[in-house]
Amino acid sequence: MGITKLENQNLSNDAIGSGEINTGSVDSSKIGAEVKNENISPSANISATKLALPGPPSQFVRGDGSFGAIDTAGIDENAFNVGVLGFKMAVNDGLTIFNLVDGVVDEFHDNTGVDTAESSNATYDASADTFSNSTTSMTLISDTFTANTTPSTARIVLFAELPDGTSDFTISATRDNSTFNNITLTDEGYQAGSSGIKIFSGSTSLTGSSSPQVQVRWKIVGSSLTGTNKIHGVSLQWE
Amino acid sequence: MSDTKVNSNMIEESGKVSSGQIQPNSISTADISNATITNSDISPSAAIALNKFSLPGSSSDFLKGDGSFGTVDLSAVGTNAFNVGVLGFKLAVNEGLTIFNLVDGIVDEFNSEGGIDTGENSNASYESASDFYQNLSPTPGVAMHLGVDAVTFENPEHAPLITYTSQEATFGAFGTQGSITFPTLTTSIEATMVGAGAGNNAAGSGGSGGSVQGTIASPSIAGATWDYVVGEGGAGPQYSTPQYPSSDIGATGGYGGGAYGSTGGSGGFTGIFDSEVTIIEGGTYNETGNYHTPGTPNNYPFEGPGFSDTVSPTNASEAVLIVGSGGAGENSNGAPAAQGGGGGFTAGTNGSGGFSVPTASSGGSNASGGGADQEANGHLGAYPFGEGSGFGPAEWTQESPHPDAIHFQGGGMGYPPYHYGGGGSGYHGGGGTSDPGGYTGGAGGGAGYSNPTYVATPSLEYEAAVGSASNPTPLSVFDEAPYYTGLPSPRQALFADGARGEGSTSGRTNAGGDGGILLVFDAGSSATSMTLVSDTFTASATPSTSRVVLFAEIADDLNTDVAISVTRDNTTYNSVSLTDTGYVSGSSGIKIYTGSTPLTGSASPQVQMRWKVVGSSLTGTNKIHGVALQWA
Repeated sequence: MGITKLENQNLSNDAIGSGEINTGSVDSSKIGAEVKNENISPSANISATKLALPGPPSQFVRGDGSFGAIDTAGIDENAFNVGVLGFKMAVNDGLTIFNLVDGVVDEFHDNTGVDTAESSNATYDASADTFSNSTTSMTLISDTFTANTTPSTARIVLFAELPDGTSDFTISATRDNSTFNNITLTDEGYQAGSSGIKIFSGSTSLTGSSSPQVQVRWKIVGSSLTGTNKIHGVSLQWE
Repeated sequence: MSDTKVNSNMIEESGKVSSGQIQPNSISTADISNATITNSDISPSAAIALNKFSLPGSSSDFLKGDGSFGTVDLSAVGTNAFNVGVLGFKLAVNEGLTIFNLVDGIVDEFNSEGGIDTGENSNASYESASDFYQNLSPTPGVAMHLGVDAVTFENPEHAPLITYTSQEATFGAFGTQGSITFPTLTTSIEATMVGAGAGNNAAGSGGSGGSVQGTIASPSIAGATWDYVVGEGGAGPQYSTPQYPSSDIGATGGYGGGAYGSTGGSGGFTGIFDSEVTIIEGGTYNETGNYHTPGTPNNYPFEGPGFSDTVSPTNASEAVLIVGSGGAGENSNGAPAAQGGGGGFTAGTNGSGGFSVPTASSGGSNASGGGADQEANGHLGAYPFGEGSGFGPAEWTQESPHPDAIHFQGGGMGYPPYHYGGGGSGYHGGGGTSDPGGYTGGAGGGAGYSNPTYVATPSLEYEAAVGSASNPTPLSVFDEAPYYTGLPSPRQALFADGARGEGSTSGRTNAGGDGGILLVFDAGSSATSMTLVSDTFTASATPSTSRVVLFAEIADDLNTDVAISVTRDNTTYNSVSLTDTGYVSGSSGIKIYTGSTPLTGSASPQVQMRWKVVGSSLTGTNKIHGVALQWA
């Protein structure tokens, strides 16, 4: 009598070969949680988009599969504090403008780091090492510093007494001596104690596209000023 | 009709295909339906290797939370670390700090050699005055003789090692002092100096110049430019410029403040100064105090005291080592020949003929000039030094640092025929003679000086001044002082006859001998190679990376001719490729070079940190001002 039902014993070992399996016939429903590394071709080239990556682009995949940001805040803080320490050193030791690696520190011990011709209404006080607004507006702009390579970011630390607040000032930096990118300053508090010079910090991307893109400058523009705003120094770094 | 194909109903439970009935590897990717395998299909213990994934990012990219790849910008980490080194260097320079530690690092601006393994260095010469190392190989014992208008080296091949200008001493025209810029290796100089001898009259001989030998030592000598004056011998009237009508008057003194005398001029002082000095052109005062440089001859040269080109009295504070010159002999008018007093270091001698100063009307033979000492000018002969202001007795006896004090000239002729002048020049000058009653004594010799900042007293050797009545023969002290006779013959020969401070023998045409200076010191020339290596600094844990900031003036090629490396095991040095990041300030001087390297040394212990600068094929002078080394 013929086979009416196929029993396992009716199948020889290796009876089912590739030819007996239809293309595409094995789908997820046919596979248990069984796929292992060795099941996957060495050249599988599985796209990362096949991974469940619900995290934002600001986060990275950790070794345990969780997501998290890499804390680089300290890098910025260290860079700003390099500027702060440089300013303190320049004040205490009476230093004129000096260079950092990819940066400058100028506490205005003299006005050699400032482009006085392009500045306007910025009165230099040699005894106090400050520039201040002589009228309701002021422009104070540095000389041009040459970067070794095209920078994409500028960090600035401003040491100042600003009775008009930062809102009446626009701080910017350029890499091409043409396009100045605005910097939003953060009030970091007083340099010492609870009065006097304050520390303001901020950074910006540099986007100027004129050639060469290694002409770095900072610029402070004040408008609608009612008080006497004193700029004590600037530390500018770029990368 | 029965079924012709096997369907599910036709398979018994026992008929399900078992693993053994499926051919190995028979299920290929083609058999698997596209885009159907899901997370649940993958074993919880799948442990899929990363190389099974498509990872198109570079090695510097990371997988972001959204599946994209990107870099984590950590460049400022290195920049911050380098800038910590820059600030540390600035701090050390400005506050004069020796090597100090950072967290996992050090900063050394070479305020001292405390952080350097000097035993392992080669051709790395330390300049303590400026805190840097440079590739110099020392040249010991450079000997140079400074004459009145020439500079001569014992070994002519040493001449290129020294920057100098020769003095130009000129009668009747404005002379100039000489100068030397000492090599940066020089911190000690052995100086042997002789003042100039004086002229004479027909009877009395001129006094000889004094001499001294001493060691001038100070770190500030390194690289400094110092001026010098070598006294010129005093002349008789017939050598004078301008030539006065009478052969009995108007003898000019030698360059270096030699006093004008009636019939004999004194010699000029010989001295070294620690900076640039101001030369006063020689000439004479007239009776009213106005000063005249040499011009049209008169019967008497403006009838006031005169002296040759010399150093401003205000340069007295800059004097390092001075020796006085001889005073002129004079006409004794029948008295015993009046000899000039010899110049000296501690004191010049009196001119012969007595020193007890008479009044102008008393007459007598006690009209000679007194020898100077290190505290005061020598007494003048009887008659006042001059009639005008600025050169009278008050100024002559006024001591430094009073601004009116007179230095660097001898007592000159004034108001002839009463004051015949001719005192030897020096830090303090010898007194001039007078002729109150027809008996003119010899002039006094000048005295020297040593600056205790530079010259330690025990190093000084000198002979008592010769000349005057006590030793009427005009000799050169050169022939008596053992430090001259003890010189190697080539150096003795640098002091030529006629330039050994000889006092002139009697006879109006004879001039005194010039002075001279012999300097012996260590110099240096650029070495073609250099090794500068630090001490060993102990890390608290095995570091894998090192960051270096080098502060230097590199004349040769960076990273090839001048290279730096770092070790963690005191055996394997890993090269650091440096980047020029610009000047410390402005647009010249010291540059900032930065770089980092992995540390691979495997010897034990791996916490022995050192840096090493190696120069090779060097053609210029490379100055290493400091290193900041950090490790992580």
